[in-house]
Amino acid sequence: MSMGWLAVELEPAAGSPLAAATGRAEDGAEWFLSAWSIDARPPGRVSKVSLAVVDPDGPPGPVSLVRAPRGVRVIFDDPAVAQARRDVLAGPSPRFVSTLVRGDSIFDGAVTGLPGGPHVDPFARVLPALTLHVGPGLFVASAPPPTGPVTERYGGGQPWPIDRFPDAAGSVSG
Amino acid sequence: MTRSPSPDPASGAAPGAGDRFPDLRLADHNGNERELSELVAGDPTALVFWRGPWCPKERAFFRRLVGFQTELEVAYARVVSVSVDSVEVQAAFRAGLDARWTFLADPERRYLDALGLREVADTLHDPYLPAVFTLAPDLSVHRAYNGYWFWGRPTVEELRQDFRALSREHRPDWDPPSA
Repeated sequence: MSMGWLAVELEPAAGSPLAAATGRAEDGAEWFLSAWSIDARPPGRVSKVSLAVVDPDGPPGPVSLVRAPRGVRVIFDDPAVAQARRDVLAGPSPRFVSTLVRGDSIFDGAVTGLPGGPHVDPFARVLPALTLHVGPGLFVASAPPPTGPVTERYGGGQPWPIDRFPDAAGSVSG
Repeated sequence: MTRSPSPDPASGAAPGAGDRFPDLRLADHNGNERELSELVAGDPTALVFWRGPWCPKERAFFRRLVGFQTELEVAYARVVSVSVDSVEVQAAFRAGLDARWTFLADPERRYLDALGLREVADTLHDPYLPAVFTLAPDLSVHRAYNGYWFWGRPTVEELRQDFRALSREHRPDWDPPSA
């Protein structure tokens, strides 16, 4: 269980990501999503993401992508973000979920694998959301939900739901 | 505290303080197979065995735990509950409570006898005996509570004291760095 970078752009990222796929929005716009190792940060706007949701052999599927507009800063401890995390834990579990983090304390959004059928993304109440149909090769089919009820991150700058503290070397295991 | 190995499943004895709790493997309320060690990870955990949602004492006790969630969510301590109810019943009861911890389903009663927690007096539901174990991150039992009578269950204050003791023992920076 570790974190990496997620890039979401209107053009493909150059370099060697861990995984990548295109995502088509409901308005027809095509986005290029890519996940990168934490020590291989690509240029441009990126957010920290839990690599537990990344799978280069993963299937296609619908995803709710919540992202802060440029210039918008919401701290991770904002009560609205905390309540969204509670609602994720309490509600029907999505296929997978990871918050997106900028720096050590800024909530940059979330990526949520939508299950079949109606689903409300709690993070979409905090920041604008896009529903994307993401192609194969980026996200897992599903990931087990966090144990709960903890909603805090387990160390400065780690995306929830990474749910353990890093060791002295800065790594998380499990 | 001396750490004992996991009790021999053949012994049918409930783990006690100092014992290593067996690493249970059961489906969660979403149907995912989970291991107890994965759920506990690095945090103190209250492992709750309960009869089922039909029991008024369980409903009262779980309302107590739900009220405690607001502390646990900021304090890096966890709850995991286990009963013989199906995944669907676990999910429904959990949703009705607004519980935010992991509910594990053991409809096959895989661990009932191995843990010595079969409630022999209830031949209708054949449930788990109500019991709570506060666990260290390595699954060793800090304290065991016999909840057969309601007052044997831990109070929230007792759980707080257990989590404080476990955190003091297992958080290397319990005393904050000075420089």
